[in-house]
Amino acid sequence: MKNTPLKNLSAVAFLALLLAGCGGGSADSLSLEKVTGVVTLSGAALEGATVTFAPKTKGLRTAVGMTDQNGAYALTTVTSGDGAMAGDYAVIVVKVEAGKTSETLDSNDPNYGKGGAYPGASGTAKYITPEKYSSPATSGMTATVKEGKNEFNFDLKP
Amino acid sequence: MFSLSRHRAGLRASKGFTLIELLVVIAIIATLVAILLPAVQQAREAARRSTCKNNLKQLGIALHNYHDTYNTLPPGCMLTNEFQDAGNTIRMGGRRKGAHVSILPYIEQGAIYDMFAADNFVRTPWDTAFTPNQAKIGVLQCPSDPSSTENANNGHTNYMFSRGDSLQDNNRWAGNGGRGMRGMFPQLGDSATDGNYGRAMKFADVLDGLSNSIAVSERIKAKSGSILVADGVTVRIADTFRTNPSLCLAQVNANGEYIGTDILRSTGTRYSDGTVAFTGFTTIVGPNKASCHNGGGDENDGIFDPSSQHKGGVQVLMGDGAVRFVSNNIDTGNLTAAAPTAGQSPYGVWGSLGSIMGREVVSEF
Repeated sequence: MKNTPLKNLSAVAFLALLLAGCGGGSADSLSLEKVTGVVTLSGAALEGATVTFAPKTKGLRTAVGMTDQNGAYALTTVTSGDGAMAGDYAVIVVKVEAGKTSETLDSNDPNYGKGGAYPGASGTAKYITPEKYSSPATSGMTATVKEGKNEFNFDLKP
Repeated sequence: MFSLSRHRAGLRASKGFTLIELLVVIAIIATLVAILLPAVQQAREAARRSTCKNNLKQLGIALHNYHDTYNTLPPGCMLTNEFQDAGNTIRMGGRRKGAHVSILPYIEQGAIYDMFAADNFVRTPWDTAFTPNQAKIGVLQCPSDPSSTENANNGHTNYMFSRGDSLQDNNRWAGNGGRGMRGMFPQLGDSATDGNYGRAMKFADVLDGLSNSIAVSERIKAKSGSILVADGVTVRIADTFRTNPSLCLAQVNANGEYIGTDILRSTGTRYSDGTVAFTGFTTIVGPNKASCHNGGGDENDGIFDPSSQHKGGVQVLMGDGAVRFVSNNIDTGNLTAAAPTAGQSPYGVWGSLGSIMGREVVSEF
């Protein structure tokens, strides 16, 4: 019993110090809801497609996701997988075959830095997903993100 | 208080501490140290951040002094090629020198500028045998960003000149409906003979107002061998991102690495090179997100995103000389919109801050 006041005092001091250490934190963080789902093309899982939630109203942020081998995506707004803000979005899905790419010229190459198109510069990429799904105006897909967990699955028709 | 309780107990009047008291004191000291150490680390980063901010301010003053002298801002990049004048003499168009070279006399590096001028700006930025290209200039280094071994024989920089919300053709003006010249520092064309090589901007061109337009931003210098977004590198992807910048955003995986394997490491590794890949940036996808280009080489166009090691955003210099902090969460509007050629920026507040004559209403950011 003799040491009790001292113990109490040190316990209070310890707690106060702990609390003092917990300051700061980002003030202007967005409130984001988790959004996941699966994208299929004619019923088959679509891998490597970009899913974009384009805001329909001002103040929302564009959220994107990339599908894995099962066609599954998780939306990202700021850091990986953090989701999207609650609200209305137009959804587009794009997968392209990479355009032709050229070797980056070495700075010792006589043509380096001369400007103009290099031989074999990348050509226009070919769409693998139907092209109408690449624009919010024509995709016809929408999603309303609500508070809590959201799941949106999309099946693309060729 | 302690002595009082001892007197009340009244049993022993021994001097000194008990073992328990000593242990408690040690525990408190240990706790204090444990709490203070991270705080000291934060203070160090805060100090470095102030240095970076001060450098931006110095560049702002230099740009205003430059404008006072020449009544124009320096071009983001001079002409790329040589051209023939009326007497068929071959002249150099500046060989890709950037705005950093133009403002050297205004950051007290007149001696280096004189070496470029004595050479008539003929030798290229990648000519590492040319001494002024190697100059390590203190005011161009943000200490938050560690040094890079990429292009180790060139002088480096962390400060980039705005191409605005231009996405396509931001590596040269050359006509194309003006879509490459929406920022404060457009890049001139290939040569004076291509007939439409563009011009540098004046303050009078900044219709949105100098306090609403970004002039200079930080970017992390590209690190050798890295595929991390946080290491300032750029990924090459198919050109579809020109009409849909969100495709570039999606190029980053859960570890902050680029999914694409064709990586360009140029950012900031040649201070004298004016191309957007080396010393330019775009205000499209929001700070610290992703950078993408579309083939060719290190002089191509694309999305070149501001980035920094400061937590939560980047510091930018506005046209009026103010230094502001822009959050990673800034409104970027509709990132499925194609690169604009005229009018308001589709890319929200961030795009509006970059464009100099979009006539947008910029709210608080």
